[in-house]
Amino acid sequence: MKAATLIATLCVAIAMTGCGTKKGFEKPGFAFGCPVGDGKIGDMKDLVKIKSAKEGGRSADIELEEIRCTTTGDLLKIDVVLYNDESDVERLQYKFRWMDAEGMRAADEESWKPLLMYGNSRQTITTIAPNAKARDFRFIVMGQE
Amino acid sequence: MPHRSLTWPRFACGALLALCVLATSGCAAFRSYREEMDATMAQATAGNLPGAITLLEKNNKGDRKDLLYYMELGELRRLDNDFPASSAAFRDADKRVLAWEQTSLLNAAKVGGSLASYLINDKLRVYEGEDFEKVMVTTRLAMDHLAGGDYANARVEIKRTHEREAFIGEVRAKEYVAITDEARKRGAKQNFKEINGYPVQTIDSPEVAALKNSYQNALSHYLAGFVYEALGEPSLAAPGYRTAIELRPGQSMLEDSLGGLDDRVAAPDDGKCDTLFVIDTGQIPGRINQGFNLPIPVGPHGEWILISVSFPVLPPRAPYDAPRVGIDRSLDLRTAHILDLDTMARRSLKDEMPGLMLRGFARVATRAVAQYQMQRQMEQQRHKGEDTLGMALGLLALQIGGAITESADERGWRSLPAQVTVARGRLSRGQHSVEIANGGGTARFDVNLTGPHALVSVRLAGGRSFVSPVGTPGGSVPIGKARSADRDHSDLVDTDPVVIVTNFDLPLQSQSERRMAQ
Amino acid sequence: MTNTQRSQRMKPTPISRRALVIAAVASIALVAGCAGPKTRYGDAGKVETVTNTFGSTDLQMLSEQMSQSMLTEAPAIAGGNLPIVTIQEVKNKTSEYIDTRAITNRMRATLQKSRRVRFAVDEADMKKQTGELQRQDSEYYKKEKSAQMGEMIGAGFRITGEITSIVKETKKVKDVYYQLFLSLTNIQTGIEEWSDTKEIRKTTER
Repeated sequence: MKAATLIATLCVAIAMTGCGTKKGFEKPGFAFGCPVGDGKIGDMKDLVKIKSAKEGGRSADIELEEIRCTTTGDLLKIDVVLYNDESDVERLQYKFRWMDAEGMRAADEESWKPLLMYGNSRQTITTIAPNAKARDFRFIVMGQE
Repeated sequence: MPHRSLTWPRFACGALLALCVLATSGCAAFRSYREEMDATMAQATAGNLPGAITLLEKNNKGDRKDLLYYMELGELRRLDNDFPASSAAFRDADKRVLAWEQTSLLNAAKVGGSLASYLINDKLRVYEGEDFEKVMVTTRLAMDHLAGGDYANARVEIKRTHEREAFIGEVRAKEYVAITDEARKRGAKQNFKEINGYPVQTIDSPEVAALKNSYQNALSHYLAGFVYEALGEPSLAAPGYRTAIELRPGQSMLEDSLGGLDDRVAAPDDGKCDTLFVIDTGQIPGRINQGFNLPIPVGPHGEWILISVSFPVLPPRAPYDAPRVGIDRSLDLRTAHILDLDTMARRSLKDEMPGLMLRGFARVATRAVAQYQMQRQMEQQRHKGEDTLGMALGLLALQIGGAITESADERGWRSLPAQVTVARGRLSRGQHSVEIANGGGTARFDVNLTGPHALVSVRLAGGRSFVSPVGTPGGSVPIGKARSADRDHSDLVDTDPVVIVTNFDLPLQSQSERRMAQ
Repeated sequence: MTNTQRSQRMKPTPISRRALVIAAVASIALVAGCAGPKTRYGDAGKVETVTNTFGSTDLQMLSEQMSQSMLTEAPAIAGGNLPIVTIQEVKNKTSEYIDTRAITNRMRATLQKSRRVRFAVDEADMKKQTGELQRQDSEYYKKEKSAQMGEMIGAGFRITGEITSIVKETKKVKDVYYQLFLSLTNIQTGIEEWSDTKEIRKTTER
């Protein structure tokens, strides 16, 4: 019984990595170009989950659709796609937090950036790492008071 | 009626007693600020500044000195060229403005007021200062620092000045938009002009210009331009000049200050000195107590009672007497009329009038009712054959009291000039003789220009001139005695380190000589 | 007997009721009077919307976005060959007192930390630089242990730009639009290597 479970789990794991490879999980510890370390990433939803955080009392009522990463030279470059699935205008603020390879903070805390999203609209936020030390990041979003 | 514990005669005695107390305590309700300051300024313009300051101290003996006292003191000490002491006084004034700014908004509407001002007199209110006076406090602080050559600290005060003004502007924004819309509807044209790439926007409507100039101080903006420029910060100097032009449009001297800004900042030191003269003329009009006797209908049978009420009025406007600035008897500097404090004083009285009227009539109504009640009571008592002496005394006290306490609030910063003119030129470094003349006479003095920038402030008042030292970045150079035509060239330089007070067209007198003469 | 019990037993007379009202009004006034301004430390990176004049958030956003654009888009910098840059004046064409040096200083700090750019002394600091060189050139200094004249390195690129604003207001709305324009020019060739505009719109309803 136990062995069966183990085999099943392994199969699922293999299947998932297989999927990942198809989607272009080019090297270990990376998904969609983004550093994920040991995180188990099956699809975009998982990536969004581990790479983003909602802070503050009033959370932003928007959906994070995609996070994609690449590098220019030795700097990490990030695209975040936000989707406001409601018809109301949403005002939010966001920032990125940067970590180095060891998970230590790689740069000063960024300032909050205000963003207006119309109803039923998508918006892509682009940013670049402040320095080459910054190897990992979190996207932080908060509703505007 | 048995429940009435206070009978009229006793009330009358009480009122009389209260009046006596008020009278003996030298209460603010009885002060005539105008008379006090007229006497003080007469001393000052006669050149006796120590005397003027002594008089000011005498009139403000209490421990709790108010904003007004510190503003007047700061200005008088400025005229006496005692800039550190002037700064100290203005800083005290500024503390009071700050404390009040923190707890309340600026006086967008001075309709409210303390209970005492409703019942007795406006003079019992704490003097909060007009908006333009608050802006002037930090402007003067900046000018005090500049006279000492301390451009860095002048910058601090300049920055505070435009921040304070932006705050006042925010309060006035709605009114401004309304009047601009109205002017546009009536065909006033909005002008866009580009001066060396900087956009300048003006509207040719006298109402709009008058309103803007009633709370925005073009002098402080121009000074901001000058100070930031002297410190090599053109990005901050530009809005200063630009705002000054927008406030006082059509003056080429101001426009050239903005147009030449980038070139002046980028140019290498050519041995010239960018010299700015700030010339104060006249004296700001003071409010005058004007009493009226109003017939007030009271009682059920249409009885009328005569009640005295008073409001402040301003004396007629003195015309602007433009000064002419001559350098070395050959060059006339271009001037610009930058600030009209006379208009500001008039505007602020106009803005306050609704509140003043409201409080004035509230006072009248209270007193009319009291007076009517007492008269009726007296008549009833006389009918019954009772003694009415106490009553009559009470009525008298009420009437006299009303006449005495009912006098308008004449307070306002009185030592300010009425008009300010700026003159600017690039002069070669070294000695220059300066002549500043207007209808009142000619002031002659020498300046020694040592740095790339210099500021000299001059006050022409009552046939005398008061000249500050030359404030140049990093130091100040005392003003020299002027050379008169028949004088030997050798006594051209005066080493008196403090001040020169000159009689127009009369031989010059240094402060030490003046003090000795006293 | 406690106070409350006594007061419950007492019938409120009109006077005591009036007294109560007066006391209430007085205490409200007192409380309102005592509630002075409170000062606390806040988040320096917080979105600031106190007024619609140029504020801290505008400064932070413009400088951050500009330096990011420069890091990614400007070939001379993105190439990673550590160019030397000098910052010239960013012209303030708005009617507000905006210290554009605060914007460029923030950009300079960000760019320098990215280790992609080096900065040569700019016009505003030149006097201090040459003054120190001259001071060290005097007879008081050991020749081999002091900075030598004629060794300064000139910048290969210069950053320049301007900030403009458009303000529209009616009785109900005040709308402010800021646009920051920056460009990076190769000093030797005079060719503009990069330029970008970043904009901000703020609306206040009255």
